[in-house]
This record gives sequence, structure tokens and C-alpha cells, in this order.
Amino acid sequence: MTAKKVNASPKNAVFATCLADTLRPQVVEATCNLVKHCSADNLTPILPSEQTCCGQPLYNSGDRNGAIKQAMRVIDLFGEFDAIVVPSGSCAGMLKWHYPSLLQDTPYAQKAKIFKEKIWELTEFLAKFLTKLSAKKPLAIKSALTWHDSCSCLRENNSESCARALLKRRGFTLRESTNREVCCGFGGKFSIRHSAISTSMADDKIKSLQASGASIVAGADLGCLLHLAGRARRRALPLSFFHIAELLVEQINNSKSEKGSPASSVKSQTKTSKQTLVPIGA
Amino acid sequence: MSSRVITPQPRNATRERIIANLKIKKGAARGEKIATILPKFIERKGKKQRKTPTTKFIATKFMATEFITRATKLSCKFLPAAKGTATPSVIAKSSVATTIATYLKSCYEKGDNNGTALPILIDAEQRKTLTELDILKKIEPYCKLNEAQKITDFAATPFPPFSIQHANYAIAETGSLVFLQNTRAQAALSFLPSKHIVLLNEKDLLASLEQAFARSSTSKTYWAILTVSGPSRTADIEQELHMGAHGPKELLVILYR
Amino acid sequence: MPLLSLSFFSSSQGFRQKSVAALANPTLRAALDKAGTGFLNARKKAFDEIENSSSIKARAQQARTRAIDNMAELLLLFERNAQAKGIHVHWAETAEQACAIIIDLCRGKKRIIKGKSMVSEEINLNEALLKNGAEVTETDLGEYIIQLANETPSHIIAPAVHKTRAQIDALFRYHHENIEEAKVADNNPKAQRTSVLLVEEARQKIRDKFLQAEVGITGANMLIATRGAGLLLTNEGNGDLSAIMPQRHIMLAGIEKIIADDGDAAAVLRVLGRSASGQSLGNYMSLYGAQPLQDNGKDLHKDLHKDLHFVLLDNGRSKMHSSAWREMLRCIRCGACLNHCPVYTSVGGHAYGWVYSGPMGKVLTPLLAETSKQTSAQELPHASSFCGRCVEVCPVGIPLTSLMRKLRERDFEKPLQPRGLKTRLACAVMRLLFAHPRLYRFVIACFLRVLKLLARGRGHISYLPTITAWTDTRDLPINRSARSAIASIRTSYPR
Repeated sequence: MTAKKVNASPKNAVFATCLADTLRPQVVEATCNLVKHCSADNLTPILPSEQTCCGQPLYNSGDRNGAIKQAMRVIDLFGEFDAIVVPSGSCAGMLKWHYPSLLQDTPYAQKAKIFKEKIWELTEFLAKFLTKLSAKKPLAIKSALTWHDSCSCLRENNSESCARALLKRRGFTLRESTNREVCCGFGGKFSIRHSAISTSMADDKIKSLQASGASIVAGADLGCLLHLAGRARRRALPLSFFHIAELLVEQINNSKSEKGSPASSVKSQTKTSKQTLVPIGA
Repeated sequence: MSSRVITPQPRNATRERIIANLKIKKGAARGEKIATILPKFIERKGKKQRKTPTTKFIATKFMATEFITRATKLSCKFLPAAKGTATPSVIAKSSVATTIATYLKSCYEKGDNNGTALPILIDAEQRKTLTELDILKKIEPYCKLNEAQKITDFAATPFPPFSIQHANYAIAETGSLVFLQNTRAQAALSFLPSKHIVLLNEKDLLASLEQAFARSSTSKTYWAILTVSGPSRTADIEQELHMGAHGPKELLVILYR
Repeated sequence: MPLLSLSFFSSSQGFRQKSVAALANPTLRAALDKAGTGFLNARKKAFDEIENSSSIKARAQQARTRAIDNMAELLLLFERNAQAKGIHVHWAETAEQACAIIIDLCRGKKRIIKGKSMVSEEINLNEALLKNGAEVTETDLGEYIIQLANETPSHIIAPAVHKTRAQIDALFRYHHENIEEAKVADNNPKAQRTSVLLVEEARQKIRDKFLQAEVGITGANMLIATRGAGLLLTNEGNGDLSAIMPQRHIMLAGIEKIIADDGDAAAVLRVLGRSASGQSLGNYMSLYGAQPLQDNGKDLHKDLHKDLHFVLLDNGRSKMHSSAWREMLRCIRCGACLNHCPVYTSVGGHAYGWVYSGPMGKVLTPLLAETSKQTSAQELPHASSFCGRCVEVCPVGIPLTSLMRKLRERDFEKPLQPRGLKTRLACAVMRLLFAHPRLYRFVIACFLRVLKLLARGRGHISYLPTITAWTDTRDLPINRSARSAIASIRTSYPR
């Protein structure tokens, strides 16, 4: 997948991911706007309304057959697009790395291999294509932030450098935390089945994040962010959590409003989108 | 090699059941076959080894330096002790005896054995080597030599203070000294004493683990190969590192040419 | 000895209860915190200082893979070569058989010393020997400590990592008689002793045992097929003293410890010490039964090895060999996956209920325990967030998370317990919803409305009836708009 091809093709799609779709629609909306902003003709990406989930909960519960069926459905639904942008490391990892092995003994084996090449984890996509904006545009967040690496971004997609390059290019002040490569304890089903361990891991992670000195945490994986934000809120800690898409899109919106052409962006029918940036869980 | 006598194995039902489970079923995926990895099912003495990446290429002229650096990291001490931050160096064969004697004299004068002669254990088989190096005569004034013949001899002295051994060879890659031991009593010399003094000839330095294994195959008989890399250590109590867990508290090396 | 191997599982509690208890134990947490980054930094440094660490790991993986692929032939070759030198080779299919063989070898001998061997913990050898009237002393300092405390190892490399210095001091004071009283009395007798003193005291106590021992039992890190020799790697020197001091030496090893030849052994050694503790090799690396084979059978010095015994243990391993979990046999027991596992470092090793803990334990325990008809190990493969750090650090490239997932898949196929049924039910609901996107949309819409009601104007909820396991410790951030993204974005796909 080359830059040229993505830009030339109108057929970009956004895989909403079930968590963002349900609990943080702003992330999906922001992703759509960012993808639109990146495409050469300013074309709105397609958000298939029949999409549900990547099948990871089934796959990690041991329901291999269920996961295979879901993988086939996702490939059927998204197979026609040229680039599929996923605002979550773990879902991108599932589509990109686990589908081919899951489907290797099925008629979809070849399709899965082709499909794999079309998957873009959001930060990967933006690091490559979000180049039009100058860094002088006002930032949504003025103070320093710290970055939470999700395990799938670190070890499946290897995209941790993308997020950093992106934040730097956009002018954010990044304060690195220690123990970046340690899991936050979300792990989907794990966070419920082994809630005590999961919570203890969240506490360790929050400690490291706080030690960075920044009070704002950004990440590319909503699962981790919901888990950490939920824990921080329960402990009444002064930390705010945001998905990177929300932060970056704010910059685009700001610049758009300066130009006076706000109408062109993707907008939800709800009121929330018009509000200023609200941290997760607030 | 073909003449090697192979003793027929007695039938063993347990073994056969285990082996039957391990046989790869027909059609199952399988990697390299044994025939390709071990041509004649026998040890390939001195023949071409498979190429293995080593941690570092060590040229012969840097072998001693590499060994000293590695061994020092492992808390080995070299004799004579280098002054200040200088690195220890290889000494001449002729000064080996004086070096050991000087060291033992200082121990003696410090009162390591309450002012009496220091008991030193040596390997009976190495008496000749040590005599050739003129060591035994030079250290005589401060020491009482003992030869451990049988393992039971140690019962009388559970904590022998010193031993002197000549290493068979050493590995520069890991900073290890290698001993080919014929008897258990010999082997105990590397473990029971509090201070283990080891002589090493520079020409016996080998670059890698593979070379050490290959070299060991050229000796005819020995009971065990012991590879010693630094004094005995433990970190079992709160991850604090301490020397002298069960074996020597100090390992002193004299590298000569 | 009926069901000896089961007593390790004696506690009826499963992993969940034990992990909760471990998290609530401040002493354990303090000990684990202290252990914390030491192993990690040492390992990182050891691999960083060599230039070609990836090719070294690849070579080690190749060595292990070819050993496992040719296990049957190599084991027979090992036996033949060892026997040619007069070494005895014993085969044990189960833990009970292995114990029986060793008890037989210890017949008429009372004083037994042991080097650290995780396989002996696996088969519960100490208990079997004690029952037969023998006096067994563990000589690895960590093992010695937990033997005094009557506990099991909590880490395969550092068995007493869960103990603090204060606990060890108390333990030594209780078990040792007047050995270092003078030194203690000089200072404040109540004061906690330094670890130097504790190490010295153990050294003195155990030295006597070495000198009097009649049988020494050690493990083996590798069995070199072409030599018919056992390789032992230790730091304290206790393994070698256990091998050297007594007349009889028994080396107990799982059959997967086989390795083809010297070259392969060297390849594995290069990663073993580095992964375990950041050492380039390990203090003492010894080969027992190392004498090279002679070209003719005549001048074999058989008497050199007449009292060396290898006990090769199967205990479920050969069954793993033909299963989907064969890759697990590559494991060299370096412990890197334990040190890097966020679950292990939170709860410690005892929560896992058996000798093998951490990620490798989550795969090995259910598979090996199967032979003992144990079911309490079933929860282990589920106790992972699949963060994948274990896979990243494994020096022989074992895909631990995939193997855990395969165990989950196996469990899913046979829902025996209530938890299995619960998972099946949840999956059935998900399958149904995913197959019917409109139904899914409807359910999500209802769910979001319920959440909004529960939130009562806030951005999160603190109590959600069906998933209290989440809300017990965490708030659940909600979607204030109560509309999913797909439902609310106008420009959605026009199908």
C-alpha cells in the first residue's frame, strides 16, 4: 500500500471497533475526519453500518470457530476497500496478524492475506499521511502529555514510533513515562475474569504515568484507556485520558474554523461533538 | 570408528512406551532429520563444526585482553594485583612462582592462619607441573602442602583455606577456566577451599565455547569437565549478590606465557 | 506411593483465590517489588552488549527445535553412549515411577543432598524420600530456605524470591543452633542480620551435609546425546558439590532436556545464562559423564562412572510431543518469561499452585497436570492479558500466548465446570449478535440507554449489575450521548 494509492483511491474505510463505537463515539468521528483530511480529494471514508466487532473476544475466549466465522464476515464487509483504518492497536493486530493464521485452513486463507495488507492502525496511517497541517495551528492541549503504549502497538504492530513522531510533528510536548513496555492490565476478558490482578496492574501503570509529571495521558487503544481512566477516576486521581484521534482532530477543527469552512467535516447528530474536549469518563 | 562395540540394550518396556510416543507420525510436519544433523549417529571428533554465531569475533592477539576483561567482570582477581586502574597483564613464566609466593607471603603475614603455615591443597597429578614452574619450592616457607587423594580426605578439613590448580584451558568469550577432572577429589579442589588460585598458560586460551568443547574431545579420559567463571555466588536473599555461597569466596588467576 | 505428585496441589484454592490473597499480602508484595527490575536490567544489559543477539537466539531456537524434532532417536543415542561408558540410564514414565527408581537407588543410604532441580519438585521427590526415612538437604540457598520454611519454590531460578531478609533471618534463628551466636551477640542480638552473615551461616551448615552425604541428586540443564553426558549450570557451586562429594550421583531430568551435540549445547548456553540472570554463561558449567567415547570398546574407564545414574522422566512430556503444544518442549527453563510477566510480578509464583509458574507455567502446568487428572490448573491459561512480553523475551521463540490460547480453545470444547459454561454462554450471545448486525445495533442502543440512566448525568458509572468484577475496582466511562458512533454519524455507509 503506497501513499499514492491511498490518496488516489476514494475507497477508504474506517473500522469503528466495538468499544469506540459504543462507549466513545467521538473517537470514531475523529478518525473519520482525520482519514478524510488525509485523503487527497478530501473524500469522506466509509463507515459500514453493518460492522460489529473484530471477533477478538471470541478468539481469546477459546471460541475458535466463532472467531473464524466473524473474521469471514469482517473480510466480506471490508474486503472491497483499499485501506481500512482502525483506531485501536489490538483490533488492528487482530485483523492484520491473527486473521491470516485463524483462516489459514479455510477458503478465506488467500483473502486474509490480501486483507492483511490493507489494514492500517490509526497512528501508523496518520504518521504517514497526516502531513498537510502545519504545526503552528493551535493545540487542543497546551500542557505536556504522556503516551501510553498499548501492548499490541508495541509488540504486534510495532507502531510505537509512529505515535511519537505524530505527536512531535503536531507540536505536543511529550513526557515519557518509565516502564513503557509493561502491560496496563486491560486484556479484554482478563480485566473481568481476573479483575484483582488487572486492577493491581492498572495501579502500577498509573504510578508510572504519574511519575512522568504529565497530567494528560494519550493512547491509541480505547480498551487500555477505559480501564486506566476508570481506575484513576475511582481513586480520584488528577489524570485525564484521551484517545489520540480526539486530540489531533481538535487541531484540524480549530484550523478549519479559522478558515471558516466547518461544514465539510463529518459530524454526528448529537450535541456532544460540539462541546470542547472532554476526558474519558468525565 | 566403525569398530566401536555397542552393547546390546536390554528390553525396557517403559523406555519403549516413551519412545513410541515420541516417534513422529507419518505425514506430520517435521524439521531437520537426525541423519542430516548427525551424519553417522556418532560423535564427529574434530570434524567441521556447524557454523554458529558467537557473541564476538576475537582475534588471537586480543584473546588475553578479552579474557581478562571478561573474567574481571565476573569478580576474578588477577595476580599480581594491578596498581590503581591499570588492567592486569600476562606475566612471564619465570615470574609465576615469585608472584604466588609474594601473594601467599602477604596472606601469611596478615595472619590468615593465625601466624602458622598456610595449608595449601594441590592436585597430586599436577605436582609435576607445579614443580616445573618452581612454585612448590618458593612457597614452602609460608605453606604446608597437602595432596587430596580421596574425597573422604576432606572430612578432616571441611573448610580448606587455599588450593592451587593449573587450568587445562580457558574460554575468552565467557571468561571461564576449564578443568578436565579425573577424580572427585581433584574436582573438589575447585569448590571446597575459600581461595582458589588458578594458573593459566596464555597458549591455552580458546575463543569460544565450541572450541572448548572440541578441545575437550581430544583428551582421552576424564571424569568430568568443570567450567569455572568467577567465585561462587548467590543472590537468593533479596537479590543481593554475595560471593562464596558454597564454593570459593575468591578466585585468583595467574595468566602467564 | 499413591498420588504423591498431587500433594503439590493440596490446597483446594484455585489460581483466582490465591492471586487475590497474594495481592493482599504486603510482605510478599515488598519482596516481589525488591526483586523487580534486577533480573530485567541484567538480562537487557547482557543481550545489549553483544552485537548479534538475534542470530544467537535464532541459533539457540534451531538447536532446541532439532532436539525436539528428533527426540526419540537422540534419547536412544544418549542412552547408548552413556551406557557404553558404564553410566546407568533409568526411564520413568510417571512421577511415581521416578520416585520409586530414586528411592531404590538410595536404598541403605540415609544422608541425601540435592542440587536445585525443578523436576524433583515436579515429582515431589523430597516427600517420597522423607517417607522412606532418608534425610534430605537442599543445598541451593534459595531451595534451602524454602525447605526450612516447608514451602514450595515460587520461581524456577530464584526459588525463595518471595522471602524477605527478615523472614529468612527468623527462619535461620529458629532452625540453626548456636552457630553464629557469637557474632549475633556482639551486635544487637535482636537486630536483623545482614545477608552476608546469613549466606555465611548457610554455607557452614550445609558444608557439613556435603561432607557426610551418601547420595547426591541434581537436575540437568541438558543431556548431550553424542556424548552421553549431563550438563549442569549453577552459580553457587552447590550442584557440583552435590555431584562430587557423595559416592553416588543421580541426575534427574525431563526427557525434553535432550540436545543433539556439543555445538547445539553451546548455542543454548549462550542464551540460557543471559536470559536467566544476565550472565554470559553462569558460574559453574559442568559436564558429568563427559569422558569421550573410545574408538574401540577396550580401554573404557568404566569405573569412572560406575555410580552415575541418569533418571529420564516423561510425566506427560511424550504426550505433549505429538500434541499442539509441542513447541513448549523447547523451553530451557531460563525464567525470563516469569521475570517479564506483569501477572507473575504482581502475584508471585505460589498463586500458580505448582512448581512451574509465570507464562511457561500457564502452559506447562495444565498439560503436565493432565497426567495426574488435575483440574485446578485449568484456570491458568486464562490468567493472561496476552500482552506478549513473554513471547518477546523467550530466547527460544516459544509462542507462549498462542499456546495459552490453544489451551483456552481446548477448554472451550469441553465445558466441564460452571466457568466453562459461562464462557460458552457469553460466546453464544456474541456469535448471535455478530451474525445479526441489526439486532446488535438494537441491543447496543438499549445498553447505552441503560448506562446513561445509571450514570445519572455523570460521565461514568460506579456500579453495573452484570459486570461488578469491573465496577468493584474501576468506574466505567460511558458514552454521554447514549448513541453509538454508527447510529449517530450521518454519512454512514449507504447500504
